[in-house]
Amino acid sequence: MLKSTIVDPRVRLVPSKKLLEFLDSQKEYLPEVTENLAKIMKQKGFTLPLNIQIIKDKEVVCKRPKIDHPLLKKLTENIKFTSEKPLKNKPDSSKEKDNDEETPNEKKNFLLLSDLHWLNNTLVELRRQDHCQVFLHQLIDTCELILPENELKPRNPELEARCERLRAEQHNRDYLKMTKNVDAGLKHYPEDTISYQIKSLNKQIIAVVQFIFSVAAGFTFGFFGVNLMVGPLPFGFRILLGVIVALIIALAEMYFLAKKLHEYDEVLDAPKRKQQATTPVKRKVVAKPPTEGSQVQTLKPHAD
Amino acid sequence: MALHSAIKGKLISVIGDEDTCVGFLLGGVGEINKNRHPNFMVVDKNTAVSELEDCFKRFLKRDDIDIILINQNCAELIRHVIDAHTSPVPAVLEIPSKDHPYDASKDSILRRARGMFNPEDLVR
Amino acid sequence: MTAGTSEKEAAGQLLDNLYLDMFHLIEEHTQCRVNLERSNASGAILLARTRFQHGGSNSVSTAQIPTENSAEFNALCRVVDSEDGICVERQAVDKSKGYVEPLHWFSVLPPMSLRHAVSKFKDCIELVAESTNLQRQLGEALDWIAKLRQIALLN
Repeated sequence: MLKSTIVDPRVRLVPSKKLLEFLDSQKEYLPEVTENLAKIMKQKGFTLPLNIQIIKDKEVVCKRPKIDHPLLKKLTENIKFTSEKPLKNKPDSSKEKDNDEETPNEKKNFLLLSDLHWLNNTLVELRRQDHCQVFLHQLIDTCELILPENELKPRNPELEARCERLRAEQHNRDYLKMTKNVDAGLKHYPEDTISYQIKSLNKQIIAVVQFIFSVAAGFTFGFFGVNLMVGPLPFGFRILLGVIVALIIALAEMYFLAKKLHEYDEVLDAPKRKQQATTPVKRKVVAKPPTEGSQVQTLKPHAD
Repeated sequence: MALHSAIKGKLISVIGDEDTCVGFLLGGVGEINKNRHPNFMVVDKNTAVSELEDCFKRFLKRDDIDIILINQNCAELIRHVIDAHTSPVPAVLEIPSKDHPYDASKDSILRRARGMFNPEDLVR
Repeated sequence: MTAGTSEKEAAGQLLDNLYLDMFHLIEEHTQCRVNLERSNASGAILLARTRFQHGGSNSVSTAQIPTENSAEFNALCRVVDSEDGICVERQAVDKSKGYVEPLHWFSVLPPMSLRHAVSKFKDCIELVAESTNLQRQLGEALDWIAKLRQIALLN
């Protein structure tokens, strides 16, 4: 299994029993309830009066509340921050938690941000009408916050096989490089010999020489050939003619040269690719005997 | 020195794998100051945890650094140091790397937020 | 007595709002990180493409970026702390003042994909600034909640 990007960044809260019981006790005062919450209540075995209006999540206004900073400062100015203090209220919250032991199945019920907003608005309303004096923080204190989770995705087996193969190839190459000067059989690896390099150089040189030769021939034709055919021409005109013919040939040749050199590059790459393609087959043989000595043995055919 | 004081603004420092570092440096956050101290560190598989920790602490001490970006997989290695750092400046941001997607349950600050609700969960 | 209850009401309401704010911040924080991840990933893909086109994995790597031993240079991109959070400020490239173009570490004529990668990583930096702001606000909100909870206990 592989972790992938978080798809759903929503915050979720697992509602505690206290919260649900509170809602149940206040249900006759509730004019409306969110869809999600209604579903959870139903699943938990609470009934809602029929006249309650169920609203969609989207209809709840979700705005970041304005924080009254002056009041906040005023309230907290005479408090010294101690980390021990908040621990004090933890025992009762943990007790609460023990009460509502939930099976993982039930954990699928979550309160979303819109529900919390609705809850906050409702509580404000209830407090105003003096039905209760409960605050949101008292209710959600006992809830469990669930952070956005990564989706688990199984890795594509094809990709896995491919990665495995590439990794093996890389290790193989590293190993070859390491053992090159130890193993006599690998010493004359074709890429290292002078003849191999000269051979590859030759092809390129021939292509370039060919280019120069044809340009020179073109010039000669323009300079002498036309003169011989048509009759005596002025010297300047002959030079111009030669240059023009040479240019035309150079242009055409250039195109072929570029094409050929490009092809040559691919040819250079090809044996490497071929060699890579064959390694996994060999690797399977290698994989079984894990000792290093046997690996050298199986790799030797490479050099031949 | 006059030149140095003329520059306003603080630095972003990066601790991460090769691609993250190269990327953010391409974005132009890199700097090597007068004392030849870079504000980035490339972590590879051979980097020791102690090295990582020292580098992180060094960045914390520098007063010209405002944001420390650290790959989440590196952050996991020195989690205790990151958890210990709570002041807002410099801000420590755990960023995802190309092979480790962002995991909210590992982020220090979100774990703190979670701790507000059920603190015994951290012990578990 | 009424004054006491109204104050309690106000404090409770404040704490509720802080909690809601915290939830909002957590969501935004996560969303921001996910965006950052996306941008970073697409940047990394472009870097990989550059490497592929150049052949050999060493064309864009740590070997090219400066180390302790290289000449000093200044950051092109800095963050400025202002009233409403952090924002990114960029300087123009100016060799004489020590602002070097990071693209030129890698090649004199950078390929298109590398340029695209740079723009992606610039987006990343913007997102980092945004994310930092959110993280700071979240940290503040958490501190306030922790403080206020002590009062709420007293009430």
